[in-house]
Amino acid sequence: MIHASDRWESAILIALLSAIVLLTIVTAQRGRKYFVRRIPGLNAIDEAVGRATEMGRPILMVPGLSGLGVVGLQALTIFSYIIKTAAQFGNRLIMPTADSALYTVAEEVVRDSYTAAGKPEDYDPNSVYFLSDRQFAFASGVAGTIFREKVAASFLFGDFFAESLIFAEAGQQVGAIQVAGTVSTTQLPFFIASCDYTIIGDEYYAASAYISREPTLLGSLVGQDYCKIIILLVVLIGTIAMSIPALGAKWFFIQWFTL
Amino acid sequence: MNLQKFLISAFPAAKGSMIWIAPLLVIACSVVLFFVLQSLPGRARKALIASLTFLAGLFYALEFFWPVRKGTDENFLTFAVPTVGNVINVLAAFTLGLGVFSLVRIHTGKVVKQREGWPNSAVLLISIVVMAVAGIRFENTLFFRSLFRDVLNSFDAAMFATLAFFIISAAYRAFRIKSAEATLLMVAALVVMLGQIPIGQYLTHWIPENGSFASIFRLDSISNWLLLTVNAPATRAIGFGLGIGGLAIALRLWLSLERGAFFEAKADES
Repeated sequence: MIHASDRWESAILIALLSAIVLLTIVTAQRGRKYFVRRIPGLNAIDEAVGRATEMGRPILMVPGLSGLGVVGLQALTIFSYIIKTAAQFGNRLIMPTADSALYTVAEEVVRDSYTAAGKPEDYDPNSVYFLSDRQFAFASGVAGTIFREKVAASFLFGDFFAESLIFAEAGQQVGAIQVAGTVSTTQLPFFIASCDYTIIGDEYYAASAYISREPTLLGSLVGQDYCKIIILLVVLIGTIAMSIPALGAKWFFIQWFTL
Repeated sequence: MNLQKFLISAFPAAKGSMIWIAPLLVIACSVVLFFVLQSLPGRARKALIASLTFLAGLFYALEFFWPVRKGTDENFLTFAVPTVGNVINVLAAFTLGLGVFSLVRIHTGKVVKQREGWPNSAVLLISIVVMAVAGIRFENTLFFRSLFRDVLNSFDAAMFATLAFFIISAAYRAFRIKSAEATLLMVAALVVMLGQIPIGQYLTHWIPENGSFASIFRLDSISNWLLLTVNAPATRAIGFGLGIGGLAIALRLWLSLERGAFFEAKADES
């Protein structure tokens, strides 16, 4: 079992970063305005939904193999926005899931998004379904759905592994506009090669703030940037210290962050 | 009396007939709790969900930050970690039932209404029943083993094999020289690939390996430099961003600051 007392310096850093994020959330809630740079992949969501409307074909949303954790819930937050937009135009939606716990929450989120969009009667209970928790059984099910339904737009957000390319290439073959975002850095090259837009790294977690412009989320996003500056400073000081023999590996700062 | 001893004395291990009665009591209580939750107004339910989420998060935060006892690797909450983990597993088991129910409901509807592709749905339903019966009744038999190993695993391997073809078509698109960046990507990929294979290493084998400045021009050296000095820091930078992003969203979920999703619309509506 890992405890803070094993490495107090790491625990202090976690507490400090958490405090910064919470502080910026509070300042944003008190009315401070923050700027968010443009993220093309997230702007493309409206374009993809519009294209699906023109073609009269369904929209596919895949949360990958995500379980009920931060990655899966963030995927559902993004999907919630897509559903609200799609509901305005009466698009048909398909959301297969690989995790039964996430499926139950996804069902609620889809229903609530239709309600929020003012179209509760358009909600189709068959649009969200559990396929399989076996990686390649899920992959074949999703690929089959893409080919059979000839989806117009495909949104791939969540945890992906080897099956990522199967989804993305199947979407390519049916000519779907594809937007992907994942925290699995090993799958990013496949998405970049096969999808029209890819959301990279922490842009994935910035998505909900970018889409909703809700003060709490914007504050959190700015807090994340301050935290990144701290990490950058630590890396910079460490690099300089290791390059100066007089300081080197024995300096207390380097000792702190040495595993 | 410490917390662990108090809980053990309050909830002793079930013996005899209690082994059967205790789970039945728990299920009965769960059903009652389910109906109580359903009858709660939206705002009260939201407050309840927020409180439970906070308590669950607080448990793990306290367990991590609370100092351990001298000479041990435990604090006053560590003993409860497996129990809390079991509670999560039980909840996950309930949701698995809901997942299978969703699958059966959709495909039964397809078979009954004979919609397009209904024979596939029929095969799926039959497979679920056969696999479940084989797993429960004939677990250690050749019948189950051949279903699992010869059929299911072969299907998995077949799907995995399709990746070989998909990688070629994806690589073809990625490496088409359309811009300066694509050219750079293609050259870098070519060098890395050549640096990893014997024929690529043979091309520059005449350059001395160690001790000379010229060694940096060997294909395997350039390949390693691209992987370790260019690629690895970029991946780590993405990792830092993801870690901080994960921390921020975890804080928002823990403190129920996440807005615009997860039961919000429903709660506000009622």
